[in-house]
Amino acid sequence: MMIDRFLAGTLFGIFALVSATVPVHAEQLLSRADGKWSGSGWFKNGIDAPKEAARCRYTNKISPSAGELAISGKCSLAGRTFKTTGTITYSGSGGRFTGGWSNPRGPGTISLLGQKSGSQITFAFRAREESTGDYLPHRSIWTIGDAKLRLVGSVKNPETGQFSELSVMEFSR
Amino acid sequence: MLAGIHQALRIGRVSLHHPKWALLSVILITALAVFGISILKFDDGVASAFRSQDEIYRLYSENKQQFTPSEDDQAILFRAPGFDNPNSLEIVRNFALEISLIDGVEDVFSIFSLRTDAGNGSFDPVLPVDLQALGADLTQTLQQLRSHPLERGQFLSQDLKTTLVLYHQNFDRDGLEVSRRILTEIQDTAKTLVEGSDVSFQITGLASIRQILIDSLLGDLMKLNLIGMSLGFLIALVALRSVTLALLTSVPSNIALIWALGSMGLSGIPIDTLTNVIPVLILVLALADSLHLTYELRRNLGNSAPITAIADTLEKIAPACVLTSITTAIAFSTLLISQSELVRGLGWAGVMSVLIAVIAVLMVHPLVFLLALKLKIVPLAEPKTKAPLSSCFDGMHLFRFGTRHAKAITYLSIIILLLAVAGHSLNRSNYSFITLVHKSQPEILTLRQIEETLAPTMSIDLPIEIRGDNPFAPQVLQEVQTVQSAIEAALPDNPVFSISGFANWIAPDNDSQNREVIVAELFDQLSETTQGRLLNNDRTMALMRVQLADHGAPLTKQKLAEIKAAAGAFQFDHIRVLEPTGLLPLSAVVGSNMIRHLNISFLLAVILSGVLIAVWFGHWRYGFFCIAPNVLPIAMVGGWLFLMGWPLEMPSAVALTIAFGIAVDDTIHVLNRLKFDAPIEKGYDRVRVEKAFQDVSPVLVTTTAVLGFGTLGSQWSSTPAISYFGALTIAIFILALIAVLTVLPAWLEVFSKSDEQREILK
Repeated sequence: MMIDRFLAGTLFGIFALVSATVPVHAEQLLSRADGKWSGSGWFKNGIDAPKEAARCRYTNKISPSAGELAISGKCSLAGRTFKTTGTITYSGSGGRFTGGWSNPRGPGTISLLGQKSGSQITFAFRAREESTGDYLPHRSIWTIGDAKLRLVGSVKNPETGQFSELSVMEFSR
Repeated sequence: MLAGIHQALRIGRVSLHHPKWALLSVILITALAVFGISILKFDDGVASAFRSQDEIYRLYSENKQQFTPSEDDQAILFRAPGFDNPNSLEIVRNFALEISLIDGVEDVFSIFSLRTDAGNGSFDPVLPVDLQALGADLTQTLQQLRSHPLERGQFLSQDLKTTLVLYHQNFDRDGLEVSRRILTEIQDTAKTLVEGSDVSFQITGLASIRQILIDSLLGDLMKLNLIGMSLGFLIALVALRSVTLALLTSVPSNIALIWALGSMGLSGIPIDTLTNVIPVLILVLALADSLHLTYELRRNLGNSAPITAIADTLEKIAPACVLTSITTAIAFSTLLISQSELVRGLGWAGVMSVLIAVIAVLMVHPLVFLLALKLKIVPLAEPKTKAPLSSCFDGMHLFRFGTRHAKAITYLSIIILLLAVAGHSLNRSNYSFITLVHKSQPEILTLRQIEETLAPTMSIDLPIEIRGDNPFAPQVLQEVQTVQSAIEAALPDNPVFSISGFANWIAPDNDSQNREVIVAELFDQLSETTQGRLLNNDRTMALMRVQLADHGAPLTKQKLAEIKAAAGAFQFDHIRVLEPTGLLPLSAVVGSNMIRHLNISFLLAVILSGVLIAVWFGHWRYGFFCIAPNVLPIAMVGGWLFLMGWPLEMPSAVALTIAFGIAVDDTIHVLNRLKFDAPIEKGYDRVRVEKAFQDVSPVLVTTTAVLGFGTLGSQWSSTPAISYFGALTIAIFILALIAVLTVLPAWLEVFSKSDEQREILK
């Protein structure tokens, strides 16, 4: 499902964002994302689909020795729930992150690359879009505040060439 | 059995002659029993009530394995001045989304789950994210939503003031503790969301009801036994007119209670909605036996040394105590023929507890009084002056009334007996497991409200075998639709759900070439739990679910017959409709059979007790004379239920059998006394018979008061079934006392006198 893939990418990005705002050391960056998070917002199933209300809960566990954050959680929309898992690793230089996200009921595993820029981080990935069946560029932009995270997910509309919003989620501890 | 009885009779003498060993044994057994109490299990009994080897249970069990059972659905009913207020509606949506995230919660349904065909292959939610933006159109949108094929009045009331959120939880897999955690979290979520608004909520469903039952069991156990102990002690105090004697007399019964409870814990028999009555029954029965022993001992102490007095007491009273326990055990053992695991559990618990209790009394009573006599704390003689109310404990006015009007009472008792038995046998039976909880309980009131304003909460399931084809093939769907239409025509007030209804919603155009593909694709996107409401895992069986309310067994059986007639009117090539099943049909059919078996149990108890009494006392006349005082009270209560139009339910059917086993004790003690003082087989001696009744009637009145007041605690039980059971047994105890003191002397006058004796007495 489109939403599953998108969710995979955007939520994966949140914790990369958390990591990205902390100065240099990977352990510090990742440890800030450790713990429980809950959020609400909306998703769209496609560019022209209507918005659907959503809520999510995530539990993250840091592994300082491996420099890795394990992410596990669940999201609900009306009549559906999704479980997702992922890992994020600080690549060690230039504010870059790598990772993967998995949704057993969705498209499987997505690989992401993230880049920190000021107080934001942008993740980019390609995923199959439901209405066209094509693999299209997606991105997630994350803005971090005090104990709060905001994500905006979008996909490049093949007709306009512009990115159209597919989700907005607000998380807090 | 006779060898066992002799061993039981020797127990008292062992305590008498080897008190130190006896005391050590009592301490060790009590310690073991306390450990047994610490591992006592509690069970609501809902699952075991119908568990049996019968075909109907096997079908139910199979159906439950294959499909998602509706009895695991929990409902949260929200109320507001109007859900066309977007703020109120938003609360319900946030709640539905939030509880979906709770571990163990599966498949949350609400009006927000409803989707409509967007026309481009996708299904979009009927209600948008921004409810405020709908403005005045919200009311119309909600009204239109009520006609959605998957809504059909289930989730939103016509006046838009109540709405339902359903969730599914696998109670059997997860167990009580997980269920409790989920319910608590859901409760907290709802409270947080409704705070400060005009929206209210109430949770209901079988899981909530089961939790109420289990939570009430421990409280009831403590309540019933504390009240029983207190009231029983007070009666003993008034009757014995001595605090010391009352306290000493209570010790054996309290030890019996501990041993009985401990044995249940050690043997794994749980405290459930039926066995919860066992401890208080054991307490009062043991106290009654203990009182018999104390009365006799006090009489003997005036004439003999302590050890001789105790030995003489045991000689005279112990056989009667053993026999009364055996007859009570026989009454419990007849429950073992029941199909229901719950009723059989009561039978086993009763047999074991009663026999352990009599051993406890015979072992502990002599020990307690031997020690008390050695310490000189027992008043040795009966008080010379009569205490106030002592005539209440006499009972001889009933005896004199019975002998004075012997013929009239005898013939009247026979007529009443025959009429009452006839009335009782004509009484219909009824079973509804909702009656295990008080009608005023919020969960039950909410269930009823859901049924009145939304839709029925329970269901009858119709499994359908799919022959060879895939379930979405047009011919299969067509045949399933035929069955569904027939049932909907026969039961227009009962919503019906099936794979055909789902397909009609997804792709209404039956002639569409790729309908099968569309339906299959969308079906695959459903959760496993939702899929399980329509098809089994390997898609060889479909389920048709007919929703209906639980209004008792007779109505359920009527609906079952209508469904079978509607579904059975067709012959199909691609499907085969199987027998209807589900928790509701199971409770209706098995419940009725259960009550029928309980009636058979009662009959067996009457016959076996009569035979045992005749054999025990060594003459058929003893068996004959126990008919009236034993059967009459039960038949009268059964006949009364018939006259009042109250159907026979499980608590009443169990009460009649168990109370019989206890009520027969009065007769046994009288016959035991007659055996010693005025043997029936040797003819009728009015003076000696009167003397025998004079000796035994005060203790009978006292023990009946103990039994009655001790059982009175049942009226404060959280379980209506226990309260009902208690009320009926108290009525039977009182009638049994009147019968043994009035009807038995009358029968003795009429049937045991020879013609010569009657002539002389004239």
